[in-house]
Amino acid sequence: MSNPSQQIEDELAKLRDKYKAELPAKINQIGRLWAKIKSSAWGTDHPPELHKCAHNLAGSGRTFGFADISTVARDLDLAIKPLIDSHNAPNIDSIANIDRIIKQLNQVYSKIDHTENQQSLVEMVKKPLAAITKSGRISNLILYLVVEHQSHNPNIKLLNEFGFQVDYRHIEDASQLGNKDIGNISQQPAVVVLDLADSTIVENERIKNFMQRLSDNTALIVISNKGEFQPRLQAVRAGSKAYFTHPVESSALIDCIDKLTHASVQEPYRILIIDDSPSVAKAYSAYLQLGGMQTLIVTDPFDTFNHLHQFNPELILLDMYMPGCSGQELATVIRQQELFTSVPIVFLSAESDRNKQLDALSLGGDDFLTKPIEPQHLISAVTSRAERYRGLRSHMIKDSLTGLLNHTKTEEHLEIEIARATRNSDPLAYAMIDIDKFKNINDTYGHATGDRIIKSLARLLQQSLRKTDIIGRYGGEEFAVVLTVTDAQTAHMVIDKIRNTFASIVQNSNQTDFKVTFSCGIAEFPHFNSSSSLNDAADKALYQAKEKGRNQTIIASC
Amino acid sequence: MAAPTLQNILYVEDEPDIQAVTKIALESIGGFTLEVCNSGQEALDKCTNLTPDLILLDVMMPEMDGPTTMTELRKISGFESIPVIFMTAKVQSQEIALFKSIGAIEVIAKPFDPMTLSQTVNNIWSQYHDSEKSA
Repeated sequence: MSNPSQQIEDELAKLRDKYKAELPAKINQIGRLWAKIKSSAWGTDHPPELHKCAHNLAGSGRTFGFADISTVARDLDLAIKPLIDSHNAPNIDSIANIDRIIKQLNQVYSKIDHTENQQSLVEMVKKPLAAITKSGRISNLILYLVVEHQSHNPNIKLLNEFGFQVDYRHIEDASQLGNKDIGNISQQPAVVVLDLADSTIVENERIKNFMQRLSDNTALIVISNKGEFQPRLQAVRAGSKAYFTHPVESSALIDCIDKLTHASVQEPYRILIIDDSPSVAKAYSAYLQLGGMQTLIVTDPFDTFNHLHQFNPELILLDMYMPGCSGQELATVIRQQELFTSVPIVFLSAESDRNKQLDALSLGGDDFLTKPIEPQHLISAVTSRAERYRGLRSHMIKDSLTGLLNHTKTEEHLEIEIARATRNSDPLAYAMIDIDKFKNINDTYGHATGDRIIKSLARLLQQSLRKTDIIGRYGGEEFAVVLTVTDAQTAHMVIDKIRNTFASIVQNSNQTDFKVTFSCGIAEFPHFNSSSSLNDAADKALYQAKEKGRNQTIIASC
Repeated sequence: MAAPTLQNILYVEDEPDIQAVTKIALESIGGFTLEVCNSGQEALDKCTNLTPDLILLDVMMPEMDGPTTMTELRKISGFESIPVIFMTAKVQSQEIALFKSIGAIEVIAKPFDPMTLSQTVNNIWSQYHDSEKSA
């Protein structure tokens, strides 16, 4: 069965489209009736008919997502009603007023039709979702435009190696940015890199127009020779998300592109909704799901505990008034458990008394949202808090340089995966990777370069391995990888491919180009059947690889 | 005693667009059962076969408007005291007061939000029963 909120969304979208299609006829009808009335037909049926049309439009527009139509139609309703009640033909002033309102109605409609940015309920709540899915799909295409100069930098090849697909185009004259075929690509790019020559002056409007032809989610990066404030400001005004000066450090550029595209493939936030009224909970759940979140509804506060640990929410939406246990009490109980001391709790209630709201917050809530709440407001309030919480959590469990799991967490995950492999009688490969002669690199090129190389290997591992594989930074230049349901031979193949790619990357520091390699030791479960024996065996194999001349992968023998 | 469960709603509205969106709001989202009539007359014709918990009436309808429909329904056996909610784009306070004075329990303003309509109806329902209890 398909998702019920999706069905509702589809049904509402259909109705909205139908309503939108009929709008011109309704607005024309209003115009026609008013024209007839003006040509001295006040004593006919037309005025009540006109009033009925305006009244219906006022009463329906916003329901279908056209709030402006409702507002203007309501003005019209209010302008006509007194005339009908008094049975007087309109005077010059009221004619001018009604003329103006009908003109405005047409204007509002024409805006809807061409810009498509009306506040439709469905679209309004759908937008964040669209941003996620859209950029998730397009996330690896980079449109790389070199304007008015010949690029000689190795960025493009490197981007390919990091799994990005690059559409490279040379543009002789900045004015060609206006050409339709430049934005004419089979797939929407995730990022546009605009690599400008010294002399190039591109008007902001031109860049903006160019970007407007692409998806809303496409990010712009500008590369230029000019490092001063003015051109940087110009780039910001043209909508650029990042600015680099020549020569561009490849890894910095990749880092930036990674950041700009990474947010897109996030897992949905997990939101627990606790409300004793199923229909309220369902409505909020529908909103949040449309906003791309995963929700779980609990209607009996006494059931909370069963779900809390399983669902592991990143935010809890809590009704203030519930039978048997108030929202404040429940918040306090949740807070008293160590695992949930920092999960955001947001109260939802019709309570508008500020003092009572503050009371609730003092007992463990983080925010207070007053019912009824606009869907967009709910989605953004929940998203921003869940986002911050996830960020905080990741600081606690992840390595700060690479964003990979830290040592402790990697070990924990290894234990979990061993348990799973045991249950399912699956093999598992554990690989320890160490960058060769890392101390030399640090001594020769400095720590900043060393850090960048660590980051680039982290990224390469993330790009090349599966989502189900576990990648941790063990410390220093050492990484640990758990390849689930994989035997040692397969793991050897996978890691060796990564090793070759890494060895071929041209690293640079202060205009010097050099290459870096790594060595790897692999141990297989169940040949080694505990985390400590896997660790020891992989470590020994890694040591052998180093002994044998580095830049190779060795499987631990029993 | 808790309010009796609200399940069956008799809904009278002449605008097909609004009918359709209300059906989604109250049936798909709210889980109620709706009997939809296109006019006051249709409601009067059908009502002897119906046992609604609540009546939802559009105010501005051709031929027979909402208040008239209510007055006529009230004359029918079994319909004397079924609570009525009006739906209208007229939301000036004196109008709301007027509708309430002729017996509506509440007035829902149009345009409404389809996602929260069922909750609004539910709230009105439970408030109505609370006040009945204390009265």
